[in-house]
Amino acid sequence: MLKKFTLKNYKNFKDEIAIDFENIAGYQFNTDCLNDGIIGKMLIYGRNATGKTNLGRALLDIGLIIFGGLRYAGNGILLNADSKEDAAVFQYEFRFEDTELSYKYSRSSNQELRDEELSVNGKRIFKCNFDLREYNFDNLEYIDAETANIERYLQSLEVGEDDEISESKLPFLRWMISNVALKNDSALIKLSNYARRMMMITVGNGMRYRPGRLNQGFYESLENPERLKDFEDFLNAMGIECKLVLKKLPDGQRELYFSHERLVPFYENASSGTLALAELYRRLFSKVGDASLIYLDEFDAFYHYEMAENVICFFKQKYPKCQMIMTSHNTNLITNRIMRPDCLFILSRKGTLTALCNATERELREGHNLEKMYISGEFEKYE
Amino acid sequence: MNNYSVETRRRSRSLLIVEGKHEKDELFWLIFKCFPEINIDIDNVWIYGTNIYMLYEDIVKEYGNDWAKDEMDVDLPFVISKKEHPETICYRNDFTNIILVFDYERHDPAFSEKKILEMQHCFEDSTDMGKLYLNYPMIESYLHLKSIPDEEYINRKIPVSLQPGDKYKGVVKSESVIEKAVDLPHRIDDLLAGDRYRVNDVKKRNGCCDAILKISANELEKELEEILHVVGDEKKEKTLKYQLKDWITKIGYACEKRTYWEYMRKVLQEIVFHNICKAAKVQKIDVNENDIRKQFDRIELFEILNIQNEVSRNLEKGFIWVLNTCVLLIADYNFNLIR
Repeated sequence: MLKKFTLKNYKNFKDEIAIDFENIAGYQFNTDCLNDGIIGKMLIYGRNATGKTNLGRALLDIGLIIFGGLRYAGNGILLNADSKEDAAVFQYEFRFEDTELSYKYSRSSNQELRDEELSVNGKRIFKCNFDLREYNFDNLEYIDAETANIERYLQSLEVGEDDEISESKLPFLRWMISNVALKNDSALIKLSNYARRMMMITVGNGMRYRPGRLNQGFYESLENPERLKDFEDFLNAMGIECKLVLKKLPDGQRELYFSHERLVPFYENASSGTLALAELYRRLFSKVGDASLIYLDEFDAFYHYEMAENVICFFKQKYPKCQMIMTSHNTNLITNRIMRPDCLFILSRKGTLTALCNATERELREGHNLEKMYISGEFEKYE
Repeated sequence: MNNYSVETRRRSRSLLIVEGKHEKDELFWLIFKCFPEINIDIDNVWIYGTNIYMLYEDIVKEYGNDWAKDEMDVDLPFVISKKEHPETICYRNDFTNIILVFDYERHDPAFSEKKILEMQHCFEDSTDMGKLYLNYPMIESYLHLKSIPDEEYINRKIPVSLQPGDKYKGVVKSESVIEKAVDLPHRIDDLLAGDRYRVNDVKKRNGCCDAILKISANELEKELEEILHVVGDEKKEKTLKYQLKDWITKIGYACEKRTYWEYMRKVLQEIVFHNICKAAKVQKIDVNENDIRKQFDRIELFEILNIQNEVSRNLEKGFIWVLNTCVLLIADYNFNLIR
């Protein structure tokens, strides 16, 4: 699992910012917010434009390194606009059973990879600096990857430079994962498994306007009556009372309806909250296998406060091992009833991320009304 | 000022609801000075003077007779501001601390076991509705140590018949070993302002007092000399120097290379410590007496009030345990402050 993520010079984060999952306090309540001694359910608050979405995007960046994919052109400027440094730095520290793994890389302004470095159990395995063309592959045998054909890899870098279409700086990490015969229990395989199962869900971003055929995959899965029932149960349990039916239309398309005296098409008529919840369900269950980490941006933007609580409790129950980071403006969730002071964070205008228990000199206790304290300015210095 | 600016909320304030003026401000002033971690700027503290029964009536006026029974969410800043300055209403959500400090005052004609118990029951969290700290028999009990440590404090009680309050104050004044130390800043200020030295410029005088209290070195005389130049009369400076040196040496902190504030922090920690042990004894908390944290965690101010009510009910033979609960707010804030 991910122990710590550190980011610097990325978008609004000029200085270093870290999400430290290991920094927990000794609270004895709501231990289901933790998993194996690290934070499992994290809730981030912050004023508008403090970078909650940016932080999520940055966190998922490692997926692009390992699996490639489209470089997101639409995401604006990569580097901090006030910084003199010319690269954004990402560092991920993982723990997989007994293995500690740290992967650090930086990207230049054009999103190009500038350097990368992998350490396992404190030992540096390789380091590549693509700008200076300095490469060090001294300790590959430590992770049983000494069979890697380094020359072939270096050749591929040279080829890439002539070809503008392909990504010129192929990360060695990606190359190694796909080209070296690694053992099944290799730390790299675990890393790649973890990274593949990381996801970001931005709720309520206009599912209503998705063309019907994009929902067809989801509808298809709902053709199984058990799945349809499960979806219905989910909506009901979260506080939306409804009954659903799926119909196959003459043209072969499927359509989802609310069941009433007359059928009411689901997507055209569902409320914003229902749609957001349906989208959450679709995303959670479309992924093959369970997610390792989910960044839920503004996860409860359309939810009644009780539904927001229900969703968190559902997450705790259903995904105890998944590392979930949720951002929200719903202060009702700043409570020791379902969360704890070391799992509630404030992202500040200055770009710092601080757990409530570290944002005041006061000793936070279970009986404290954290929401009221937040509103009255107890943590003001860290907002 | 921007065309679109809206009035911003003033938050992070503290509300201190106390009975008298002087002594309470003195104690809290000292606490906030010695424990800067508590993060309460005395300028950001709104002090409201009242007594507990008047406050009770104010609450009834707003929330009805059954406010306590119905567990109403009482908004004290609202209640008080509505009464004091209805043109600018304040709300609980703007206050990070609401602290109520009152004397037990059994002999008050308005005394009511029921009302005071209701108050103690409802006001239990300073970060939320507010927390009530009752002092037995009065605020001065924090000074009531005859030595440090004072092994007798744990058994100290006074007869109910000892009244009015001035009598108890007299007892404390004659028995306390810390009263002089607590009073030092005020004594220095009075001395400088007095007829003899006439340092009338408030800013100058405050600066001078501050500097004197910050002295921690062995070279007390030399440092005092430098500070006292403000008086502007060599002869007077000299007598003043010896006077101050005498006071400071008697309290004895400077030779330990501590400032007054560092010394008083230790003293206050001792006071808190003594009162935690005392509260545990009154409440008959059955835990290892060396585990001060456990004792502290089990203190129930409501329980203590019940017990005090019981032992003091007989006006002739009854007694009151000497106990200052308001100093516990330091440990309430963060127990590490008294470690």
